[in-house]
Formats: sequence, structure tokens, C-alpha cells
Amino acid sequence: MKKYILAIVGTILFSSSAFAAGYGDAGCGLGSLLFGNQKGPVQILAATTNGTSDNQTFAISSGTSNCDAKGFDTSKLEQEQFVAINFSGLAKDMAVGQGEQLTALAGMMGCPTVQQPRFNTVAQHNYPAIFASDSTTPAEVLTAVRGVVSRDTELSTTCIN
Amino acid sequence: MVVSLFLSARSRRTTPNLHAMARISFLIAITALMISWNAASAYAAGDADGDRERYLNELILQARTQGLAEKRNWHLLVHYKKTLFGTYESQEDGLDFFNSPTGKTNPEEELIATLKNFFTPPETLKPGQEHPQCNFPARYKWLKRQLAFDPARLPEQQCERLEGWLKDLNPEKVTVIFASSYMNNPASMFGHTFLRIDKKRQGSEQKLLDYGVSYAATADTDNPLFYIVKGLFGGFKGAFSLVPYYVKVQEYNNLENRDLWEYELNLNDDQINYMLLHLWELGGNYFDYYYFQENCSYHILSLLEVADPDLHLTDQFIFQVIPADTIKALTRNSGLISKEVYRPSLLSQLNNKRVRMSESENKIFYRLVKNPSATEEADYQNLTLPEKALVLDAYLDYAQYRSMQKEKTATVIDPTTRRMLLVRSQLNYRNDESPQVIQFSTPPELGHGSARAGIGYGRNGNEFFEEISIRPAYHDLLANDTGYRKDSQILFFDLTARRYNESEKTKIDSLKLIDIVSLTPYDPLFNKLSWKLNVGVDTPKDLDCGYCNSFKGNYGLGMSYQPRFFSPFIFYSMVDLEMELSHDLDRWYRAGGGGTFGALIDLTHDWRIQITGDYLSFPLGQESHYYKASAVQRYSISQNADIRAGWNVINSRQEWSAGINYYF
Repeated sequence: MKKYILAIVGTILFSSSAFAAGYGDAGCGLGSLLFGNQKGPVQILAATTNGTSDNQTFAISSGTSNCDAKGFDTSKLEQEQFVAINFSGLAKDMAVGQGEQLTALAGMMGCPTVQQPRFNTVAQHNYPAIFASDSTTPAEVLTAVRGVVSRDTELSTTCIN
Repeated sequence: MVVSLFLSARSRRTTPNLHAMARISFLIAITALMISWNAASAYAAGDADGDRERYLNELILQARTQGLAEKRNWHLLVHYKKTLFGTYESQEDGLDFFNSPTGKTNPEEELIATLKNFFTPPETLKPGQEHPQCNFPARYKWLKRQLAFDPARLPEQQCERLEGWLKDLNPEKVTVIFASSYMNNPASMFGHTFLRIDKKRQGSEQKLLDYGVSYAATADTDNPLFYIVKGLFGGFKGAFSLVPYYVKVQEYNNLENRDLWEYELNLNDDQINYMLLHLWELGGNYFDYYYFQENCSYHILSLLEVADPDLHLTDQFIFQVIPADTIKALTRNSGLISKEVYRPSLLSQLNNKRVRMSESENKIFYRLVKNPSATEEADYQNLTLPEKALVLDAYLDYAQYRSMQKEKTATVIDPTTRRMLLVRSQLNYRNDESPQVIQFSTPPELGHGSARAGIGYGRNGNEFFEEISIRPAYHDLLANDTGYRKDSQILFFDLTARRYNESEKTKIDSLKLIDIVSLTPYDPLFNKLSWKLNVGVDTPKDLDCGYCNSFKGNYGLGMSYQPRFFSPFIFYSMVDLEMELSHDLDRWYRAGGGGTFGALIDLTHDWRIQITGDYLSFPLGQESHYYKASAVQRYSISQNADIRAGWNVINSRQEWSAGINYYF
């Protein structure tokens, strides 16, 4: 009985997110922690909570130049990470035909604001192709979205990333 | 030169050694030239060193004359705080933060050492080491402005990494974000604050792609006890980190389902630049993290003070820093906040839809949750297109919620959800009007103060008493919950003392070390339990022991019920376990269990009553049992004051009291 109580108390009081250790090397840019030998983007969410975080990953580093202060540019790597972390939200946004995460993805792909409604419609219309199967991964979704955008007459020329 | 001429002149008289002599004289000439060249450059270098030394001394003299080491800006940049003894000590704990070995306690030495290090010749830096001007760019900027550095005498270094970082951040605005209280993690019960650096952008807002700046402790232990002790007493290192805002939104909004309140600040470009330069200075260093004092919210405020030293945001925090109080420190400065935005959590978004749906639509929604293929059924098919979309949108919010609770970041969509997503996409419907967002939490600046003091008066079966109470934190079930998490209670060190008039005794009535209640109303969609935990000193009133005290611990688990969202009623019921220690008890203790029920009713916005009933039976230790019933009411007379009156009875011993509380 006591153990059960302690377990309940313990779970309720201390059910914070796991303190995932050992993120890859002492990188500090977003790119450096992705696609190492770890599960990649998944690790980011596992580590950060209110009072604790794996600071090494996202440290702001002055003084050490082994860290390449890579900017948050709209390269494909950053897009993949965005899609991976926002996967379930993006799936929803695309089905619904709008949403903040979908707008952000369009932004990362360099699409101008005025093209957002078209981007939304194109995503919604091509939904079965983008989320093709039960095992479609975030990387495949991104590739499919980029494919769909490149085949659209207007978006292919205006979405520059 | 002269020597060589002389030698060559002499060589004319002895012709066989002419060539040799010429060669020797040439070598001597070259050597002489090199010696004089080295002497000259040594002299020049010595002179350059000397010039640096001279200019440094000029700057130091000027700095002393201007009293720069005593200025607020300097103290903010190096985080000096006055100690009890009147000396200064920096809150920074990483040694790399100081240029002088005595920098932590000596502002003037630190300033001099910083100036000196700005003169470091770049060629003397080790590979991978950055120039001090680039490690301390905020100090450099400020000192340069105060002392008008002459770039000819103090060369300005290029800081490529810093420039690249600033260029990527491309800041336009700074926003303070408040994440509401989260009851499942003690570190999160009081909420959390962090910053967002909003980028300059054309076109629509892309807040998700902005950067969040957060101060947090690096916990190096999973052991709950060490986590508490280290967290409270500076055992962890705290540091700033930069994370894309979309990661923060996923974490707070979607995983922990905490509403976010975004406060956009009115800071100009120069102020934002100072703040970011200082963040760069702090980035590689650490402070000791103190959960109650130098925590996340404190350091966010200290960053903002660097941006605008005229803001006095941290002065008022002596004993504790509670995130909601730091938001109040901001809202108190008129004109500082330009806009306040509510960002609902995933759960709040779902509940928004449930409130907007009619009863029949809600029924279909619940049906789909139980059986997703109910989209084939007539009830769903007969809905209009917008109604179908709303019901499916609610389902999809729910599905996302469930999947994130199960696995923090899904990398595949589960088949049932995917099918539903397809159905939704095939509706080809987009709701182009944005409906009014219902707020499921209230912003922290509207709440009562986090500390409380009160006085009261009452009577028990025998005599009258006066009562005083005081506590540093935080919020109780009966208080006005504007600005706080609904239906929860968190009390720390809540002391009530009484002076009994006839028996002339002054006693502690209760000292609640911690007292937490979390009520989560029953919801057909979720299995949520309500719980309570309290530990502290109490007065067992069912025993006749002259107001003796005991040490008591109680844990309860149960359910709550609320007829609908925003209903003024909430009912709760729990099963309790309780243990009490006192030398007035047989065998010094009693332990057992029982049950509690309670009801909270909002008669008006400012007037709430609480009715409770308890039964506890103690088969272990001193065998005993008690019934308890109580009815208390609270009326709020302002944001920071309320009056209460109540009555309770324990095993036929009655008591009533009334009082007034002031929150600060």
C-alpha cells in the first residue's frame, strides 16, 4: 500500500519530461543536433521543460568558436526539422486547409504572403498524395509538399526555397 | 655603410682578396641594416605598447572621473547586487564572466580589467579564442559610448560570429511570454516566463519562426530528493538558451497544454541591441539556479533592465520571485507593453470548439471519439458542410492531444486519425472567418498578490479568539481565481496563530508547510483525477488537549464534477489517507483514512462559498475518528483584498470566525 501511494505521489509530483542526456556533440546550432546518431528532432521536445533544459544543445555561445552559429535559415534541413517537430499539427492544418504551422512552412519555403491561400488550397487538394500511407514519415511529407509546390504553376516560381 | 666603404677602400691595395672583401662588407652591411631595422621596430613596438598603456591609463582615469564603476548600467551589466554588508557581489557564478580575478566582488577592478582586455592584440589570442571585445560586446558598447573610444588608439575588432548571430535574429520586437501554471510538475506550478525575439519581416506574422530565449536550470539528477534540494539551494547551473518559438509552442501549448500569454514590449532598436549583446555575454556563462529567487523569471527581468536601465523591475523582489509577479512588474510600467495576445493551448482550442458546438453536434463528436467510422452514419451525414467541418476539427484536436500524451513527438500518424484527416481534407472546406477565441485562462496581472496577511476574530465552544495569518505564497481554493489556475490551491508556509482570550493562550492554529489541491472536473473525453496533498502543523480539535499541536500529513485522490464549462458550481470527492504525530496522542501517533466531499459555488463574480464534509477514522495509533463539516464564504472587495466568514464543526465542537485578508 505504501509503495503504491509513494508511486502515485511520485508520479504526480515528479512527472516532468525525461531529462534526455547526451544529445549528440557540443553543437549549438539547430543543424548540429539533427540527424546525428540520435533520433534527431524528437530529442528536442524530450528535454525541455519549465525548469530544466539541455542547454548544451541550444546554448548561446560566446567564447567558443567550435560552435558554428548557424543561422535559422530556410535550408531544407531546417524545414525537415520543422516538419518533424510539428508533424501532427501540420497534418491537421493541411487537412483543414489553414493554420499557423502551415503558414510557417510556406514561409520557410519562401512563399510570399499573397500566395498563402493558394498554398493552403494546393496542400488540402493534394492531401492523399502528401500523406500517402500510414507509415509516411515527416521527411517524406516534406518531399511531397515540395513536389506538389514545384508542379503548381504559380507556387513553383514564387516559393523560392 | 661607412665600414663597408672603408673596407672596400682598403681592399684596393690587396687585389687577390677583392671579391672576398666585397662579400664580407656586403654581409656586414646587411647585418647592420637588420640590426638597425630590428632596433627601429623594437623601438616602434615598444612605442606601440607604450601608446596602448598610455591610452589605457587615460581611459581608466576618465572612467574614474566619471564614476563609471558606480553607475547603474555597469552594475546591471555585471549583475552586481549589494550584500547585507554593503559590499557588492555579482550574481554571475561562471568565472569566465569576469576579466579580473577579484571581479566578482569589485566593480572598479572589473571595469579596469575589462578596459585592459579590450586592448588585447588579436595576434596573441589562442586558436579558437575570441577577442574580449567580442566576448563582452555590451560592456564594449557602453564603455565606448561613455568614454568615446578613439579607434586609432583602441582598434575596434570585427566580431564575425556575433554579427552573424545578430543578423540571423534580425530583431524588431521583444515579447515576454507567460506560460500558465502546470500542476503535474512542481517546477511548473507557479508558471514560467521566457522571451521571444520577433524578427523583422515583410508580410504576415510568422511568430513560430521567431526565436525564444529561456533561462533554465540544467538538472543533472533524476533523483526527486536531489532535484528538490539542488533546485532550491543553487545546486544546479542555470543558463540561457535560444530555441525556435515553435519548439516552445509545442512544448507548452501542445504537450503540457498550458495557455500562453504574450506581452509585446515597446523597446527601441538600440535597447534591443544592448539586450542581445548582453545575452551573448551571458550565453557562455552560468548563474547558480535558485528556484525561488534567481529563477527563470528573475533573469528575464534582469535582461530587460539591461535593455532599459530606467526600468526598475528586480528591486522589489527580496525573498521570492514568482513568475506572475514579474508580469505585474512589467504591466505596472505604463507604456512598456504595446500588445497582449492570448495563445490557447491545444486543450483550450479543443474546448473552444466544444463550447461553439451545439448539443447535438457535441453528441456526434463524442460518438466519433468512441467510434471513428461513425462518419458513415446518418447523424453525421445530415450535418451541413460547416457543421461537419467543426465536428471533425474538434475530433482532430482531440486526436492530436491523445497522440502527444502518448508519445511526445509522433513521427507517424496513426491510421484512424489519418483516415479522419483524409475525410476532412475531402470536405474541401475552409472556414475563412476567425471566430472569437474564448479564453480558458485569465492573464496573471489581474490576479491577487502572491503573498497574503490577514486578521480575524472568532469564537469556539469556550471562548473568543483573535487570529492573524501570513503566508508567502500562493493561492487557495476559496480566493478569487482571476489570474490563477481554476480550481487549484497551492499554499506554502501558511501560518495562522490565535490568541485565546479566556484561557489566555497564544497558539499556532496551523502551519501548512505545503498544501496543494488540484481539481480537474470530470470530462467524458479524459480520465483525469483530482488530488490533494498537505503536510504541516495542525491543532487536532477532536481531542481535548488544550489546543495541543500535531504534525499532520494528508493525501487524497478522487474526482470532481462541473455541470459545464464556466459553470459556477464545482463538486469534488476524495478518498483520504492521513497520519498525525503528537506527544498528546497515545503512542504518539494515529493513522488512517476516510473521505472528503466539497462544493465550491460562485454566487457572484466576487462572492464564493465553500462547503466541505470530512470523515476520518484512525485504526492505527490512538484509535479515534472524527467528522468535520464547514461552510465558509469569501467576498472580494478589490483585486488584493477579501473578507471571509465561516463556521465549522468537528465531532460536535463548533467554531466560527470572520476576518479580512490583504494580498501583496
